[in-house]
Amino acid sequence: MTRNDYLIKRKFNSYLVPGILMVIAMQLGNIVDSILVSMFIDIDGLTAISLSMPALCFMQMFGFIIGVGGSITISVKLGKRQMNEASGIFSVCLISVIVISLVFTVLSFFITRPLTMLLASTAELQALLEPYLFVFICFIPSLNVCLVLANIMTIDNNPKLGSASFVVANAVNLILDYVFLKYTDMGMTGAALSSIIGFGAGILLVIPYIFSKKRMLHFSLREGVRQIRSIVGVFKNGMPQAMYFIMSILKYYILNAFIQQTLGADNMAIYAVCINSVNIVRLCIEGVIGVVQTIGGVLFGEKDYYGIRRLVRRTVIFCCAAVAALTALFIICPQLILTVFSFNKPELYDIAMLCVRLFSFSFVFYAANRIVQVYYQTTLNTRLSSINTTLDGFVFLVPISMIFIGTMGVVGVSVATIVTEALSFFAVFIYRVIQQKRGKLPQKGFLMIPEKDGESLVDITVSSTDEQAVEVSKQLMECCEKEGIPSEKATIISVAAEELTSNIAHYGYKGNKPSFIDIRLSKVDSRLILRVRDDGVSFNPTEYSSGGSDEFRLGGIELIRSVADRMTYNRVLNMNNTVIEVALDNAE
Amino acid sequence: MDITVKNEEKIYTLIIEGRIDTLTAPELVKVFRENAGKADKMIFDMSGVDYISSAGIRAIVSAYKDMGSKDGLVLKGLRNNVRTIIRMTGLEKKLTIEE
Repeated sequence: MTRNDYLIKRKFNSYLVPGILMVIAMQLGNIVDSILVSMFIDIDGLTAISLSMPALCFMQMFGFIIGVGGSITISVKLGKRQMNEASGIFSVCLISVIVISLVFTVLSFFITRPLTMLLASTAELQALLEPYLFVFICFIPSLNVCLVLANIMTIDNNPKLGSASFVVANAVNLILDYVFLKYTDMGMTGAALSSIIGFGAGILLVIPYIFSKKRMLHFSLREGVRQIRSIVGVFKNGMPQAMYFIMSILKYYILNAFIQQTLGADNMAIYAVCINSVNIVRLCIEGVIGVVQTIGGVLFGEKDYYGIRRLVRRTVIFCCAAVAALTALFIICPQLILTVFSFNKPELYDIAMLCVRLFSFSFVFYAANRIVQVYYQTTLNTRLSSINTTLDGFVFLVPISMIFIGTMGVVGVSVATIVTEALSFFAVFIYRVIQQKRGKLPQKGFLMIPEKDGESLVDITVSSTDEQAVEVSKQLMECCEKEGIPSEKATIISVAAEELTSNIAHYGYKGNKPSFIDIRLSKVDSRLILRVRDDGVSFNPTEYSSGGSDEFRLGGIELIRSVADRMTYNRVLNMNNTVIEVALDNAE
Repeated sequence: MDITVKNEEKIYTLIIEGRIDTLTAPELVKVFRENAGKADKMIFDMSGVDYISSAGIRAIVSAYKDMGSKDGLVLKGLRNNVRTIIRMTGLEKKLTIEE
């Protein structure tokens, strides 16, 4: 009997579609939003939105930091089965994002004007920018709360609802954009209002989750106060997000100005096509990479290193396939890409095709860097993730772009991107290897996790049948005998494993559809810990009662409860996790 | 699991060896029922049983109820690990257990 990745694969697949939908909703929302504004206002309206980006990036940054940092911190706690702490952190995250966002709401009455003056240089642009900025900043709580809830719901067994809230938010935004811009004279106020109302609608969709009895995380002011210090950890885990936003703000400012000055407006269009091509790559791989963040955090908390390996392997395979297909598309049909971005400068067509083709060679390194960033962030090696984000997003990118664009012209945009992405990847690789040799980072290899957790005695996957339930109990008995564990304790653990496995085989899957069950026995501080994990129907054995009035404790589950020292249950990632503990130090 | 049946003046002894688990417990119930009608007393010699699951416990309870009295079913030669499970189910107080 060995471990396999059946359940991990199933989880990967079930989180993949919602993850991709969420990314598509965000990306397409941005793209179509821009098109509508430029259609119904004019190109200056679009420029005003571009000019607002540094300010809006800053306000939204807190939603992303708390959403992503919070979901990672909570998922690790869920993996460790520290349910109260997880709920406390959830409460702290929600309170923090509301408080921070409300501060911006108050400030919006005072800072909008000075910000407008700072960001826009002409009176026309200022007139367009000011109402847009005001509405956005004033109602920023709607957007940030939606971001945090969508991220946290995803790890709390509701990936579809999480992505649906984003899809609805963007759909409502686009519909209202059309209505407000075409049928009213609200102009830029309408553009901002539609986004804000969209995210408000996203929050409405979340209401069933808030009142759902099945959720693992509960809002509790008391637990929130207890866990108040965890907000530091949340911000630390969300630091790569912060770095990404800050780098983006700086990068756009400096490079936009430099390219316009050195290459002129026409070549700027080629640069814009290349930079926006990244959105296509993002569209294809971010949903996949996001699964690492969702599932990886829980597996890391559980010390399920086998599961993490399989998860990363699957992610890499998906990303390689997507990148290979996209690179081939860009190399074979660059004209298609230019058409998609409405590139209409025939005199620059040849050079633009060369740039697009060259630029596609950066995709493989872009994907590699994103995996590095998300994986290390998820496994709490935040420093490595932040270093990669900083190098890739600014420290390498800006000087290298300036050098290559200065010497090679517009082709330098593509070459600089390839060099930057590759250098960022290898710089983090070398830094990691050096730090590992110095003993400052754990374990050898990219994943930085041990082969085994050092506590597991048995880590296997079995099919959900009575025959396998019996085989499990035999294997556990044999293992315990080898480890010198008293036979009374070994029997209790084996009986529990057999009963739980048999119970899942009979009732876990509708229509008795065969599936797989992960079983792990570990020894921690003179306690035997048995974890049985399945993705069948939700079943909490700690609350189960056979309902019989028999004088004997006949029900198998009740028997386990009476023989084990402790039985706990949680449902994370839509999987049942039942944990049985038996103390070894009171052996008879 | 192997079961050998001995009969001494309507006192039936089932000598059980191996494991009583989800798969083998039905066999124990079957052998018990084949002989229970003829027996005044039934003894389960479990000195050769090294493992008992909840299915095994259910089989023993079913036999206890079928025999109809406290002394009708006797468990004999329980190993410590098996006895632990039986004790924790509350069966120890109901059944006659012999060393």
